[in-house]
Amino acid sequence: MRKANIIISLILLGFASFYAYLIANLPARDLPNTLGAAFVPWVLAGILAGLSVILLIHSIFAANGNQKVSLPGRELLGITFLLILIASYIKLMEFFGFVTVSIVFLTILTWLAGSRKPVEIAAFSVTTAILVYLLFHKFFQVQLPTGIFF
Amino acid sequence: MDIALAALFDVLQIENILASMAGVFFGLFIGATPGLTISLGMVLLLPLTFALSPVTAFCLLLGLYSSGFTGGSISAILLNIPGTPSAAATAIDGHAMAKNGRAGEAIGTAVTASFFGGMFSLVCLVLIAPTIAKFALRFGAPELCALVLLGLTLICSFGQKSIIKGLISGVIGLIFMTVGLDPMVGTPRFTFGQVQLQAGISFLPALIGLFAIPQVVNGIIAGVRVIPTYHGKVAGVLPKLSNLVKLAKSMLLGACIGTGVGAIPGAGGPIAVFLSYDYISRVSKNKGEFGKGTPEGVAAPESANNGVAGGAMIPMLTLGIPGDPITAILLGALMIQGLTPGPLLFENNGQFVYSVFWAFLVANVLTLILTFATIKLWVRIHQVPSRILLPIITILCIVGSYSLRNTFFDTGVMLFFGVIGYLMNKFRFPIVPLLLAIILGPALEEHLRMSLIISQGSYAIFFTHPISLTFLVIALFSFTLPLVGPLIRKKSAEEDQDIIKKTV
Repeated sequence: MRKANIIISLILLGFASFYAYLIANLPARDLPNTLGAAFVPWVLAGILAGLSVILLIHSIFAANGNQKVSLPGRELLGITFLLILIASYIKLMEFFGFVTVSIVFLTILTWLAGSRKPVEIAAFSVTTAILVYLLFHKFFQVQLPTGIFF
Repeated sequence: MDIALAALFDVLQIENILASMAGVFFGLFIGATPGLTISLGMVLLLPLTFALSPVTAFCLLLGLYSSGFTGGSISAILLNIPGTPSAAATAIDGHAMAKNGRAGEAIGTAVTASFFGGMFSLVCLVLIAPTIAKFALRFGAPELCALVLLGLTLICSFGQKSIIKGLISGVIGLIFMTVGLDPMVGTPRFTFGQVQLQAGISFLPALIGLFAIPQVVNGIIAGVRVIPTYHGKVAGVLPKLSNLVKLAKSMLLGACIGTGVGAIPGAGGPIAVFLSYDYISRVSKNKGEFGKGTPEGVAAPESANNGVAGGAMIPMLTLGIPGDPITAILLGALMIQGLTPGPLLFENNGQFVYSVFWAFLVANVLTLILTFATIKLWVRIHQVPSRILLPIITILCIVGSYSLRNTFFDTGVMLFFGVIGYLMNKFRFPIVPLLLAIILGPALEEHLRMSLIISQGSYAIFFTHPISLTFLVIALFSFTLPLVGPLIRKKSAEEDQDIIKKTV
């Protein structure tokens, strides 16, 4: 945890610097007798930088406790795949339609979640996609994308 | 009186009763299923409330809030797996009772004590909230700014394992809230040319991402979780009146502690239940029975965790400062409905406030009735496999965030905050301060800048107003005491040791 905290505090310091860079480039459009649009962001950038330094110092001098944090390669790969899957689902829904893409998405997700029975996966994916569509589209009046299919 | 009756009539409309029942059923399901939290349930229901009236939406959400805690005790008692973090203390004696063949009695005690705690906290809410709101009407911009700051520092520091990480989490939330048009002069800030960002980051997709996506990712990465099945009999669930009389003291103590702790922003259910369990185990006549399966060890924490619900709503409704993560989401639900939480809510929407009180009463009564009526279902509900639940949660998150403005931009925001939430969980940064900062951030900036306009740029305005000065002093203590406290205790312990050595 100590090593992880040191890395995190350095990342946060980097983020605070990047944020400060963005604040410095904000357009000046302030009215007389008012604080500018950059005032609160500057305060926050300062506090974040200060807290990051405290975390860094605290982590350097802290004893190495029993708590360990790791992000193994397999887990990282799994998370990346899952995020790409969700992002692709969102992107493809626009072109192919909610129900069609949801059936494919749910099929993959159910398999990833541990189901290995094809009939169960197919029945669950089709039923859930249609039920969610009916619930949001018909009952809650949300216009879900229909795309080129449905 | 008229508006209280009108509010009761409103809550008793058939659609509102049905919404309460749906909320109670969903809450019992969420609570009784290990791995699903009340916050997650609340976040999943939130997009559905767009199409509902404010009263119906709150009947649904309060049904979930009230029953979620009760549902959490069922798996804690039967399987020793708390359905919610607040049910952890119930598992100690509840599961011991189940192992001794008294599962039905333990569940009956838990359900009744939950009802008692909920009703006690409701009475406190009704009695205290209007008085606080009336007092808070005197607040101007400096007081409101100091109050929001106090709420944020309390959440960031109180109950967090690392105050520094709590504060960093809160500051990051505030930084996200600076995205969009500046509230005073309309200067675009950090929008990167994206039109959708000009309105700022919507808190609903952020909420969904922060709470739901880490659970989905963890569930899928961890693979199929094998949850044991309870094979014993669950009989005699309805508690006897004589037993309830014996438990009155435990229930009352639990309800008082739960309501009191719940009203402190940031404290939350787990602290209240362990405090009440610890206290009752010290003052009870049957001290030796604790841990071996005594109904008192179930009644006190269960009464406390439902007491938290009403307690946490006191600062949320009167001051716009939520007491725990769930009331933070309820605060978001109010804002979605176009209502401004805080003292003005009582002034401008008095009937709605009374509807919230009645809806909470109805939710508590329905939780009691429906839990006893359908107990056999909840005893088996934990067997719903995660391979079915996780895909449903994922798709509801995506559609829920899309439904806010019918734009995929919000689903992207949800995914972004999902990654942030996952990393924060992994590296043990608390999520609640970030969530609260996202909700309260715009108000903090607006009141701060408004105060400085009033004072023509002088910061003395915060120190010359007694109420704002009091809030600022408490805020300062809230995060300095936990830092300095252990040092003082260490020093005084060393001094005590020196005195002992010299004496000997």
